[in-house]
Amino acid sequence: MQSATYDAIVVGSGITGGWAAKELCEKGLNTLCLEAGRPIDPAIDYVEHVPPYEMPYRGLGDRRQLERYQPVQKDCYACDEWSGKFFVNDLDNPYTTPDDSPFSWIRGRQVGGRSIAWGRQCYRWSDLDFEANARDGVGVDWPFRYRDIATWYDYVERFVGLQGNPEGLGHLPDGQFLSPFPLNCAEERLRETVRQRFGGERVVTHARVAILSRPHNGRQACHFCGPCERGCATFSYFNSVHVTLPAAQATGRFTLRPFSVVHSVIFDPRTRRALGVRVIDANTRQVIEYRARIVFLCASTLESTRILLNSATPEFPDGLANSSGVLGRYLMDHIMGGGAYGVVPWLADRKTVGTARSGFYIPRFRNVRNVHADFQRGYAFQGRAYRIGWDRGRSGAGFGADFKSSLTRDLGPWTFRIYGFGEHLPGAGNRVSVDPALVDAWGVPALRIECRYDENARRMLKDMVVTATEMLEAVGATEITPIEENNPPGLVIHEMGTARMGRDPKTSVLNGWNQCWDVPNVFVTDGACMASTANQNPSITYMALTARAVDHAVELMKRNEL
Amino acid sequence: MHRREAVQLLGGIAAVPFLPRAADAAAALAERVHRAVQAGARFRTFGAAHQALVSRLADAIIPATDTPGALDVRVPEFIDHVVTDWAGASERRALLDGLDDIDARARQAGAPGFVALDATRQARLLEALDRDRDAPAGAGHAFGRIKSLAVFGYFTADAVQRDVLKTVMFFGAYDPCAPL
Repeated sequence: MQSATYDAIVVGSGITGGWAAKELCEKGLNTLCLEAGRPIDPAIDYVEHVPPYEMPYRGLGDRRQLERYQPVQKDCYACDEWSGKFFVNDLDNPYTTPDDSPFSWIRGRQVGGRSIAWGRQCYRWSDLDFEANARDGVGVDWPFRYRDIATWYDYVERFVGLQGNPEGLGHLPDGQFLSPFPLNCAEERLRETVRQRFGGERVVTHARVAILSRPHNGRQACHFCGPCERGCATFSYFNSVHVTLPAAQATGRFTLRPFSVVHSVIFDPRTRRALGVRVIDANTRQVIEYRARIVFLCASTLESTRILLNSATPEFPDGLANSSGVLGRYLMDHIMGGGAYGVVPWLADRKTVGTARSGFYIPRFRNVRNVHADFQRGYAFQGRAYRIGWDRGRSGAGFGADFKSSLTRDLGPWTFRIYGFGEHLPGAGNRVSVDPALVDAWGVPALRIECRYDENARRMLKDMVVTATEMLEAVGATEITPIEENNPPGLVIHEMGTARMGRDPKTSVLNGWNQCWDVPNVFVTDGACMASTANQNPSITYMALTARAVDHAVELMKRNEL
Repeated sequence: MHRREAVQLLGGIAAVPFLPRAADAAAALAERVHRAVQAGARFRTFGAAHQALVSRLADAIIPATDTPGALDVRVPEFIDHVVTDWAGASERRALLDGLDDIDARARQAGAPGFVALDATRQARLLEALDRDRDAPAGAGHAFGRIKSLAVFGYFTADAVQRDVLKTVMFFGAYDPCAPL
C-alpha cells in the first residue's frame, strides 16, 4: 500500500529524530516522523512523583517479569519499576551475539525513544578528539574539525538549555551555559583539593547537564525531585517528547506516526535516490510505503544501520549505501566502570535539601599534555558526593531502637563515587550484520552483534581505579573501595559507529554532512555516523550534527541538488 | 497460629529489654502482634511459625518508639510478598531454611523456638545473628535478608515516608549545604 508523499521523512523520534523533525519543519518542509513504538502522553506516562509505596514492589521492580521480558534491558540502571516501560520487550526485539562476547543493546521504542530516560550529560568534543584518528593512524579521519561545528553546538545548546561552569579548557570547550546547580559542600571541597594537589592538570567541574537551572524557552526550572529518567512534569530536562517534537508540531508541517516499524529504505536504481521508506504497521502488520524527497535515519546507532542492511538491492547487495563495505563495521561503545568509592569524616552536620541530578565531572587528563605509557586516548570521571540515608541500614550492623533512630535521623557519612567513562578505539572486527535466521516480532531481520573491548580500553579502566583512588586519598577519604567492573559493551548506551563519516567514499558510508556517499538523499545523523567515540557523552554532538545536516540538506534542496 | 504459640510470642516480646517496658506500651505491642497474627490470611509463603518468627525479627529490628515500628506498617506482610513474588526459588528456600535454623538455634538453648526464648537469650542470639548477617546460608543469612527487607519495607511504607521521613518531591530551591 502506498500512502501520502512528504518533503522529508525522519525515522525515529528520539534525541536526533526530534531535532531533525524540528529543523526540517522549521525550514518549511512537510515532515513525516515515523516511530516504531507507542505514543507518550506526559500527563499519563511521566511517573517521577509516584512514591515507592504506590508501586507493587516499592521500586524493587517486578523481577520475574523483568527476567522474562527484559533480560537485557534490566541491566540498565534506569530500567526500574517506574521507568521499565520506557525500555523494549527483549522477546519482541531479539538479536544475537557470539557466545563469548555479550553486548547489551539497551533500547527505547516509544515516542521520545531513549531521550526520556537518557543521562542528560552533555560535553562538547574538541580537536583533541576530531584529530585523534588522523594523528594516531586509527580508523578514518573525521571529515570536519571543531571550528566547523562550534556554531552548531551553540545553536542546539541555546535551545536545549544546558547548564555548566565555564572552565576555559581547550580540550573540553565551554558552551552556551545556564548557570550550574552549585556543587554540594563535599563536592566543593573535592574541587578545591584537586585544584591544589594536582596542579591544574585535573579539574573537578560541575556536570554539564541538560536540566534547566532557570526557566528557559517556556519550560520551568528543575524542582529537584530526583528521578529524571521517569519523566518530568515541569519539562525541566531536555527530551524530544516535551521539547523538540512540540516545536516541530508548532510549525503545522509535522506528522508523527507511532507504531511504524521501518523495515527498509526504498531505492530507485534509475535515479540512484531513495524514494521513501517501507513501514510495517506495528499493530496491523500492514506494509505501507511512504515517499519523500529526503530521508533522515535517526533510529539510533544500530537501528539505522539495521535499516540500511535490510535495504539491500541488486545495486547494493551488502546493504544500501554500502559500496565501501564498511557499513556495520567499527562499532564502538565507551568503556565504563573504573573508579572508586570512599567516605569522608567531615561535614557530618551538613546535607543537601532537594536532589540535584548533576554532580561533578572530571574532564580527561590523560594524554592531554603528556603521553601515557599504557594506553592511547583518555577517560573522564562523572561522580557525586551524597549521604546514603536509611538505605545503609539494609546491610549495616545493628537493630533495635537506636538502630532505627540512627537510620531515621542521621544520614550516614558523605560518600564519594568517582566513576570513569573511557574511549573505545574503532576496530573492524567490531561489527553488526543481519542474522540469517532471526527476525523480530514484526518479521524484520534481526542483527548479529559482535563487539569486544580492546586491550587499550581495559588498561584505561585499570588506570581509572588508580587516579580515582589518588583523588579520594587527597581529600581524606577512608574505606576507599575500588570500582573495577567488567561490563559488556553496549551497557554504557553510547554505542557509536557502523555507518561512519569520512573523507573518502571508499572507506566511509557518510560524507562530512552525514549524507550517504552512495545515496545522497539519505542522511544518517544518530550515533551510527561516528568515526571515533572520544570519552565525552555523545548526545549533544549528535544534536549539533543533526541540525547541521538538516541545514545542509535544505540548502541542497533549494539549489535543486537534491 | 496456635494460641499457645501466640502466648509464647507475646511473652517473649514483652520482656525484651530494648522494647518499651511500660505496661501501656506492652499492651500496645501485644495489640500490634495480635494484628500481625490476624493478618495471617495475607501471608502466602510464611506459615504460622514463620509469620511469628518474621514478625518478631522485624519488630526487634525496627521497634515502635516515638514513631511507628515495623509491625505498624505491615513489614512482615511486605516481606512475605517479596519472598513469594520477587525472590527466586533458591533464594526463597535459603531464607526459609535459614529461618528454621534460627529456631533450631533457639532449641539448642532449650526453647521450642526463637519467639519462646526469654528476652535475654533472644537479645543475645540476635546479636550473634547480626554479626553473621552476610553469611551465604543459614540462620545469619536469614536474619540478614529479613533485616534488609525490614529496613526497606519500613522506610518505603506510606506512613513512614509521609510522617517520619517527610519525603518531598517538589522543592522551591536546592540547598547544597544545609544544616542537618
